[in-house]
Order: sequence, then structure tokens, then C-alpha cells
Amino acid sequence: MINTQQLIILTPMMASFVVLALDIIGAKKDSLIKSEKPHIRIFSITSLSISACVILKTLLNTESNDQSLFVYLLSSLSIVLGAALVIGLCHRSFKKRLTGDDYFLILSSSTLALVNVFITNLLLNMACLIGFMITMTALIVRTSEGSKKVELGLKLVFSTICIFLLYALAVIILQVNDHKLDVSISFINNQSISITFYPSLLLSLVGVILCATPPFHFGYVDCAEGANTGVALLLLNNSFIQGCVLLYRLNISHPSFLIYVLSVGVMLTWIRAVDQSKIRRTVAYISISIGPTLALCLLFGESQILPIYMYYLLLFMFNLLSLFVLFSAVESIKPFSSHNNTWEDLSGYGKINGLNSLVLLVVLASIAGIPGTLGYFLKLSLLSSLNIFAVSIIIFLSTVIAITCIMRIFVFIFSKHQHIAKQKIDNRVPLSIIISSLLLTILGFFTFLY
Amino acid sequence: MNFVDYYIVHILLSLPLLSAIFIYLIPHSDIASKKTIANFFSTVSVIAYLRLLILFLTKNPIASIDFSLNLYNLNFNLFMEIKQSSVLIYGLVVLSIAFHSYSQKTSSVKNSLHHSIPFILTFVLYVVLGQTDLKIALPILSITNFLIYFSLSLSQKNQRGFTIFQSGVFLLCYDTLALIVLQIYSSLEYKNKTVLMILLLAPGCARLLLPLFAPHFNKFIKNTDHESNILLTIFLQISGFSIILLVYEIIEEIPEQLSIIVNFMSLINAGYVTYLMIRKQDIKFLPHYLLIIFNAFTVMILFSGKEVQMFWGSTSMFINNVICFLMSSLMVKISTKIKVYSYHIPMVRSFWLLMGSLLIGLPGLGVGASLWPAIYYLIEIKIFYGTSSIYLWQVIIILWLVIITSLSIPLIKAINQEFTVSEHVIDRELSFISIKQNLVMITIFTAAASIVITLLINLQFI
Repeated sequence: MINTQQLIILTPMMASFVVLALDIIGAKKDSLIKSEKPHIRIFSITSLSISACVILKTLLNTESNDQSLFVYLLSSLSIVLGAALVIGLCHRSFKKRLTGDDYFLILSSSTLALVNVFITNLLLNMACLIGFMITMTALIVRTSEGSKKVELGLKLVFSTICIFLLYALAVIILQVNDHKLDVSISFINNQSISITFYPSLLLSLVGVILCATPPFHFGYVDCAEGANTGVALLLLNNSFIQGCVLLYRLNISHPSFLIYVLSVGVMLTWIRAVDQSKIRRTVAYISISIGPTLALCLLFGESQILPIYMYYLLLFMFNLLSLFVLFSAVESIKPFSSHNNTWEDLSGYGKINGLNSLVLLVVLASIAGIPGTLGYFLKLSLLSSLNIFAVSIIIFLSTVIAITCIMRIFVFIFSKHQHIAKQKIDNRVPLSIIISSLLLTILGFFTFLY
Repeated sequence: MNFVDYYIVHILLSLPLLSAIFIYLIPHSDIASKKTIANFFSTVSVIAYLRLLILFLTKNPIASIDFSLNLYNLNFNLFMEIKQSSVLIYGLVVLSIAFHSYSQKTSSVKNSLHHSIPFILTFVLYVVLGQTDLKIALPILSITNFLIYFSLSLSQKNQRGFTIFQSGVFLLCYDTLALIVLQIYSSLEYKNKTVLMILLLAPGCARLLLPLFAPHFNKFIKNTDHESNILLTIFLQISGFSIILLVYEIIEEIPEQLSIIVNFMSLINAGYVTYLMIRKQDIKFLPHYLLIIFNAFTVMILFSGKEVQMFWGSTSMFINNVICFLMSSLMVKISTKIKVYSYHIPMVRSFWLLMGSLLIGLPGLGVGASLWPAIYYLIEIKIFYGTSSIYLWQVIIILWLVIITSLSIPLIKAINQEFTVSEHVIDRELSFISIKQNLVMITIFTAAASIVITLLINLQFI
């Protein structure tokens, strides 16, 4: 009898094998022509939707006091929905058609991420995480263009090796103490700190790397900048969620070090974002600031006005919607979304394409935590539950730097003289992006509405 | 409250949003329809407000709007209350939007969104004035700031980008800081809460363009087009004052230390702006500087004590100040768009002297109608009946009197400067003689309005 968790994992897993089979069959038939694969795309999205429905049904039947299960289910829902959005976004954004192999890699990386969310055995976690990083590396190398692919591949491989070494070291230290092969994270939580201090530290570091927290963000910025926008979304979404779940499971008894690393990390991303002149590089740094924010809010945040399950739902929505709208908005400002375009090239863009610009600004404001947005509500909830003066100062400073960055972008887009001919641009914003950006602002008014 | 009044209040509050939607939907090229819609909705707002004013004067209860929705264990609640203390400020908002609709020439250069922004801002002001919690009002104002920057971006001035950047950074940072302080306020075992209260005042003072909190105030005044400058300034002023009122209501008792710090900060603000006025006597910016100086005074009066005289004194001061600013801005606009021949100049100078006297606080007229009663209340409470720091209060009042007296210097210097023929001549090439009567009416109306408002408030509540 298959239980719900197994069903959630099996659905995309089976779908990935079916996709691979379909692609092989298709390749034999049309060996010379690379045609679009609508049937594979539809099948992939359908299988992901089935998985999402199963997760939703389980969520609705979960008791509200079982917080851990709620977090894992929400994480898996984010992974599944993220993969579906990526397939939709990639379809729009790819200059060359997505092949069956690409669909297979998207589905398999999502499956591995799902497995990682539900299982607690450290060795299996390590295997799934390494598998996820390898599939993502392959996907990024396949879908990137030009000389960038080599650089991105190398950087992700470096991240993978670091994660592997940290994990392996943690497992070795635990085995030296206990000689068990199937160590789990619950084992770490039940032992004394003298045994588990170094493994916890090492695994926390893995979580911090997965959340792309500076200075441990390694290749994530370059992938967010140089890879295809859909693939970048997939990488960041799944990495952030796996990192947050790992840190959540660890249940660290003295979290001060982690709080400061994550909050300083947020500040560092925004400092680097302000420093950039290129559009894609700036957006890359802004996108990786979501990871440490998500981790902080999940581990230490709590809302005084909302039930905890609502708070977690908003948190995961913030992560997914922000990444989706951010990368979609960047995609929609074509032809200025290439890697060499600077903000100067976008001067006066807002006067021609107001809606595109507005969507971009809304998502940036939400990620920065400007009052009136969902990001602000989450940061405020974090500050009130943490109640640490130094952290409040750090988060406030990071918001100030973020505001500086966003006002700079605003001035470029709306205030500078137009460099762009009106006839060149005719980019329409899909309704899904408009609704997502509206949600990012409306949900920020919870203190107003609740 | 009967059902007619109930609906009138709802109509008043929803009209700006309706007009914004209509104006946005009208095609871009149909300027005349946009102007007509704007005028129509403004007029209906004025009529609806008059009924509200009658309720206020007859001391009847005024409506509160409560919209609740329960959705799967989540309660959504939208509550707005028109209080006795904010009814007059609602009137100011209504007057401002009517003034804007009737006086502004609808430009074909701007797009539909720009034409609807004034009404959106008006609706936001209605919502903010109806709130009782700063944690709700401030995020709304914060996100609305972007509409202001959007309007500023359409200006043709060279330094508009820098103005937008500076004002955006300052306002948003103050808002964030104030909200963080509010969130952790009660949990902090902070004995000296004066600093926290100053931080809470920062968003309001920055919107009032007080130099200590808004160092960009000069750039803001000089780098916005005249058409949008008036409305944006009024919006910022009213939103800033509403924030300050909400902070005032948070504080149960104003500590003497806070009172003195706020007073000295106001003095510094006013003194610096007076110095700027004396150094650079440009008559176009005179109304703005005087608006800032007297708003600094308003804040000072409000935080001098929790007595009812202080509250109503500062409210009437603020309202008079804004009305005088509106009228003088109209005068600036007219005088920069007409042909001035050499034999007109003595008449122009005399009109400016007349308008300037309303602005600089001469007793009984214009701003002075509320200024001197407020000074009287301050002296009465702090010096005649005061128990502590009497000498300090004497110093503060003397310094204020010096500032107020010295305001005449830049006015006289500005009037004595050369009036050149304006390069921007409107279509009909109006000459000064043809609009002389209009200017007389504006001046008389402003003087009368200021006296009526002050008497109204003083007789009703003090």
C-alpha cells in the first residue's frame, strides 16, 4: 500500500521516466528534426498537477498542531508548483526548443528535491542532494548559451563538492561516535551537544550554502545571472527549500550564530546588489537574498495575528511568487534582459512599458521588505518574534540598502530620458504575473485586513 | 445617524476612487472628458462634505465604516472612522482636490494614469485619516509614495532623478524605522522612550518637509513642475500631519523632555528655512518656505502638551496654513503666466504684499488668524500656569517671535526685486489688468476663510 508521501514522490518520478521514454521514441522517429514537444510538456505539467493535488488534499486533512508535517507538505508543494512554473516559463523564454532530455532533468531534479524533503536518513539526504546538484548542473549547461555554460558548470560542481564534503564529514563524525550506518537527523537532535556539535555545525553550513547565503553563495549568483531564467528559478527555488528544511529539521539549540549569519547574509546580498551596474547581475543578487530571508522567517519567525499554518503558507508563497515574478519580469523586459545590458540601457523604459516596469518594481519592493508588501509583513513578524536588538538593526540596515537599490532602479526606469524607441518594444505581461505581483502587495496588508 | 447621511458619507469616501477609474478608462486623447469628469466628481465631493460639516457643527455622531469578511477561519476587517478631530482635515482634502480639478489645465502630454493619480492620492488620504492605528496607516502611505515619485518623474527639471532618489530613500527608511519601533515598542524595557517617540515622528516630519528630517526639501520644491508640485506638496503635508496626529494619540502623556526636544527641533527647522528665505528671495518659492515654517510651528504647538487648546490650536493652524498656501500658489501660477508690462509692476508688488501678509502671520489675517491665539495658549499654559522649565519656555517663545518677525524681511526683499516679463504666456495672452479682480477675490477669500476656520474651532472646542 503506497502512503501519501510515497505517492507525492512517485508521481514526478514516474513522469520523468515516461518523459525520457517518450523522448527516446520521438528521437528515433524524428532523428533529424528538433521539433517542439507539446505532448511531453502537457504530460509533465499534468503529472506535476496531480502531485500538487495530492499534496493539497493531504494539507487540508493535516491537523493544525502538526507543524513539521505542514512545513514538509508546503515545501513539497512549492517544489512541485515551481517545477510547473518553470516548464511554463522555459517554454516562453527558450530561444531553442526544450528537448525531452531537458524535461527529464527538470522532473528528476524536482523528484530528488521532494525525496530530500521527506526522508531524514543522512546518507540518503546526501545522495539526493548530490543527485539534485548534478541534474541541475546538467540542465544549466544544456540550456545556457555561449562560453558561460562552462563557467557555470564548474561553479556548480564546486558547490556540489563542498556540500558533499561537509555532509560526508558530518556523517563520519557521527559514525565514529555511534557506528550506525543509517544515521538520521532525529538521532542528532536526541544526542548530547558534545557529540553533535560539529555535525550540527557542518550540516548547518550545508543549509546555509543551499540558501545561497553570502559569503557561502558560491555559484548561485552566477547561475542566477547567466543561466536561463526558468532554470535559474528552478535551481534557486529547490535549493532554498531544501536548505530551509534541513535547517528546520536540525532544530539547533543555540541558534544565535545561525541568526547572525543569515541576517548578515541578507545585508551582504543587498550591498552587492547596489554595487552592480548590469541588470542581470543586480537581479541575481536580489534573488539570492530571498533564501536567507526564507530561512530566518521559517526557523525563527512567528506572526502575532495569524495562525502558524497561515504564516508558513504566506512564507512559501512569498518565496515562490517572488522568484517567479522576478525572473518573469526580467524575461519580459526583452531585448534588455541579456547579460551585458546595464540599467542605463533601460532609461525611460517605464514610460513605454508601464505595466512591465510596475511588476518589476512591485516584486523588488516585496523582496526588499518595503512597508505595504508581503516581504515587509514577514520581516516584521520575524523582528517581533526574535526580539534581538542587534538583529533588528541588521535587518533595518539591509532594508535601507535595499531601498537605495530600488530607488536607483526606479530613477533609471521612470525618470531618465528615453533611450528606447517606442516601436521596438511590445512586450505583454501575462495575467499570471500580474496576479502574482498583486498578491505580493495585497497580502502585505494583513495588519490592515485581519 | 440616518440612512441618508450614512450613504452620503460612503459616497464621499468612494468618489475619488470612482473618478480615478473613470478618468483612467477615458481614452488618452479625450482631454475635455477627463477634465469634465474631474470637475464633476470634485463638485459632488464638496457638496457631500458640506453635509458632513453640518453634522460636525451640530455635534452629531459621524459615520464609521466597518467591512468584515470571514473566510475559512480568517477574519478580514476594514475599519475607517471619521472622528471629530479629523473632519476638518477631510474638508482640506476635499478643497485640495477641487482646487486641483478646477485650476489645473489637463495636459495631453501626460497619460491617463497621471491624470488619475490626484484622485488615487485623495482616496488614500481618506483611508489614512480614517485609521486609528499607525501600523495600518503607515504601510498604506509608504506604498503610495511610489505614485508621488511617478508624478515627479514626468517633470522636465534637470535634477528630478536625484530628487526622487533622495526623497524616496528618506521617506521609505523613516517609514520602515517607525514601523520597526512600533513593533518592538511595547516589548522593549526602554526607560527613556523619548528617542523612540522622536523616531515615530520622523515619517510625519519628513512629509511636512521639515529640513532636519527632509534635507531634500529644497530640491523637491524646485524640481517639480508647478502643476504637480502643489498637489504633491499638499498630499505630503496632510499625510504627514495625519501621521503626527496618530503618534500624538499613541502618547498618553507628553513628557516635558519630549516637548522641549520637539520645540528645539522645530525652531531649528524654522530658523534654517527663514535663513534660506532671507538669502535667496525668490517669490515663486515663498509660499513653500512659509508653509514649512508654520508647519514646524504646528508640530511644536501640538507636542507642547495634551491640553485641548494645543490640539485644536495646531489643527486650525495647519488648516489655515494649507489654505493660504493653496491660494498663494494660485497667485504664483497666474503671475508667471501673464504678461506684465512696466506700468503693471506697482500693482503686482502691492498684490504680492497683500498675499504675503496673509502668509507671514500678521495678526488676524491668513495664517496669523490661528498663529497668535496658539501663541497665546502656549504662553498661558507654559508660562502663566506652568510649573517647570518656565525660563526655557520663555526662551523658546522669544525665539519663535524673532523668527516670525524676521519673515517680513524676505517678503519685502522679494517684492522689491525686478519683475520681468514671463516667457510662458498662456493662449489668451492675459494681461495683469484682466485678472486683477480675480486676484482680489482670491486674497479676500483666503483672509475670510482663515478667520472663519479659526473662530469656528475656537468657539466650538476651546
